[in-house]
Amino acid sequence: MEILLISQYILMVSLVIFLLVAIKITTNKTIAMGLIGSATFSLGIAILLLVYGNIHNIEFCKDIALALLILGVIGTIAFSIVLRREKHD
Amino acid sequence: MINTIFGIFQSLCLIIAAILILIASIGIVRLKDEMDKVIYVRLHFLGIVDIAGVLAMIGLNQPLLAAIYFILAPIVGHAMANAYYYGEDKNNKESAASDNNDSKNNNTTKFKEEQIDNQDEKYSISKLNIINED
Repeated sequence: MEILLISQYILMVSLVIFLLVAIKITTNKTIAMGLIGSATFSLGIAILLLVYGNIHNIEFCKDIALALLILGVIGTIAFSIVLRREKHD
Repeated sequence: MINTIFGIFQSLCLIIAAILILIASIGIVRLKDEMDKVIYVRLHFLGIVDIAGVLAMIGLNQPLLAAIYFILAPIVGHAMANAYYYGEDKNNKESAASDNNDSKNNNTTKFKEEQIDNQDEKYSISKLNIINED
C-alpha cells in the first residue's frame, strides 16, 4: 500500500532527526546525560533498522534490532549500577 | 478489505509514532542546559520516545519486540534516573554530606556520654565539693 510506504518514510525522517538530537544529548558534559543519549541512540537505530528491513524485505535487520534492543538495555542498566556506586568511593 | 483496514491501522501507528518522536525531539532541543535538574526533564521526554518506539514496532508487525521493550523501557528509565540521583546529583550529595555530619555528631555525643558514665568517681567528688561550699 502506498500510504504504508509513505508513513514508513515519514518515520524514517523523524528517526533521523531524533538520532541527531540523541547525539546532542550524548555530547553533554555529565556522564549520566551521555548514558541517556547512548541508550536512546540504540533505540533509534533499532527502530530505523526495523523500518529499513521492512521496506526492503531484509530479514536479518530484525535480528540485529532485537540484539540492539536487549543488549542496549543490559548495557544501560550495568553502567547505571556502576555510576551509582561511584558516590560511595 | 481486512488487509486494507490493517494497512491503514499500521500506517496510523507509524505516523503517530513519527509525530511523537518529532515533538519529543523538538522539546529536547529547546531545553536549556543551564536549567536546574534538566536531566529528569529529558528523561521524561524520552519516555514519550520509548512509547512511540513501541507503537512503531506494533506498526511494523513486531508485537513480540514491542512487548519486550514495553516491559524493559521503564526499568531502563528508572535505572538512569537512579544512577544520576545517587551518582552525580550535587544537591543530593550535599544533603547526603550534611546527613553524614549529623550522624557523626550524634556518634561523638554518645561517645562522650559513655565517657562520662565511666567517670562516676569524678562526679561524686564534684558533688561533694558543691555540698561543702553550700
